[in-house]
Amino acid sequence: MELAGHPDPFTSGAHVPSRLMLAPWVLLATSAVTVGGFAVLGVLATRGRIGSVEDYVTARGSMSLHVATATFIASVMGSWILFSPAEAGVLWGLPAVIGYGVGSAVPLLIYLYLGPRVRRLIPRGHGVTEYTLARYGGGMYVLVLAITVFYMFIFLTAELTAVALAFQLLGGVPLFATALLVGLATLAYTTYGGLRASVFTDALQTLVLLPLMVVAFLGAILVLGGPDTLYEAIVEESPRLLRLDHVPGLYFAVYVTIAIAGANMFNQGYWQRFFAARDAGVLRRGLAVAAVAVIPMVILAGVFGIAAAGLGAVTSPSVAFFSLLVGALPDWIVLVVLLLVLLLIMSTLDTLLNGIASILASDLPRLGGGLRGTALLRVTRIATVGLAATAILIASFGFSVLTLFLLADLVCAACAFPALYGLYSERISGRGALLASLAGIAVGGPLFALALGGTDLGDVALLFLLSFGLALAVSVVLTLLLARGPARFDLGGLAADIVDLEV
Amino acid sequence: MGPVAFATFVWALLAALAVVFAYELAITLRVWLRGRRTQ
Repeated sequence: MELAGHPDPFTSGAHVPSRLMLAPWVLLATSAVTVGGFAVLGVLATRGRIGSVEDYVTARGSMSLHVATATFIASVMGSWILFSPAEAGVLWGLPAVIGYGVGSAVPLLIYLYLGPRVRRLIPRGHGVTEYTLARYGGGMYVLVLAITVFYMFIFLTAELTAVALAFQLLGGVPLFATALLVGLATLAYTTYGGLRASVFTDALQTLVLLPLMVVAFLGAILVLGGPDTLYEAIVEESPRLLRLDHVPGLYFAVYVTIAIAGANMFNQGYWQRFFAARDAGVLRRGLAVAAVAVIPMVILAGVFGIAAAGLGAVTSPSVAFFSLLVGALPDWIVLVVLLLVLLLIMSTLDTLLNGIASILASDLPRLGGGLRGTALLRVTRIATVGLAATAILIASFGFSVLTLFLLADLVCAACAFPALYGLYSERISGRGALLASLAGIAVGGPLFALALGGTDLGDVALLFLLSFGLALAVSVVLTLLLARGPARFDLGGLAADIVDLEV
Repeated sequence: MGPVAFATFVWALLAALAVVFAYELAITLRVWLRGRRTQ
């Protein structure tokens, strides 16, 4: 089982189908040309433009509307959309899929309000950890730093693992070959060009990714006989999947929304883009368009899971979409999906890699004895390479990180409100925010453990809902209760506390 | 969900995706054309 943008194809006994679609060399050659091409373009576009750590991690005020829109779409979409929504469709049906789609847009909608406020309060900011330290002090900072780096690293690893498994499923390519190829190419342009390279390639990737997605989904629907044929097959095989009042599906819809929203509040990639946008208007429109875009993408991907169940093509729920490909679709659609997977993975990988790098850049000077300028840039780049190498290694062995990913989600759900409420309230203290976060984790944790051990799908969905819902509710209520005293902080002072990294 | 609603739902999702692409392409082309004119 998996959720919330967490590709983990290993948990349900996924296996390589007997009929491989394409020769491994075809897949590897296509991949090498694609990822190599983007790496070269990313490097060329940023050549001579990265003179400082600020350029590398912030690219402040550089994104115009079309770039902002593209980079938010590219960042929100990972290869997870070809795994997780389809699995939700197989297990919990249409309400879960619709909930997944709408839930994926929720963090972007929250950021519509939060992003411009962050820009206003911290005009020279860089990210979430830096804000937490300035607003709340050491205790909350350590917690947010830990969950941010942990969540993003696990996300990175899970994406690499997912793409490696997808290629193994489609053409028998060894896991390490895919992980190494995709990881190194993305690393090359991200390490060199930083956020500017990530944003530039996002713009290109989105322009290719969107039509490919339309072609892949439309082609697959037509080849499978159209919506009417699919409908009949689903009604024949699993009619409950089409019922909008399927209760476990509704449970899933709610908890996946909480999980996605909570986790993405600590996605540094978004915070970097708050500052990279030319102005607040561009930021808002970019986020709004991405929110609109993500909904049909996720729901359509989920519908293919339901279709796979209807057509009896599911070998394992977590790879339902790929089971459908292998079982029923022609090679040209498989190739389109292959390109799609590559673009999805690269656009997410570069965001995560540079996001982690930016946390290192803004936090290392505090920990590393006055690192500045080119020395800081060099150390940040080396650390990025080290992190990527570790993620490639883990993906090469195909280790499952699902439980860790879910755990990160829960912790994020418990910490999100206390951490971000400090942007609005001068009354909540660092100790109060920390207490509310820990209380949320303490309440959600035991239910989470029960859910992990569950076997009945309905019970599991309910336990996850209770776990995430209570973690959020307890942290929200406690935060509000603890923020009732006199003002303890001057929000106007944040701008003076957070300055350029070069200063 | 009935067959007509399901088919409408699927086509609407695909149409929405196509509209997003058209929008992204349009704003990108506008910037590109503006850049060409000022060169």
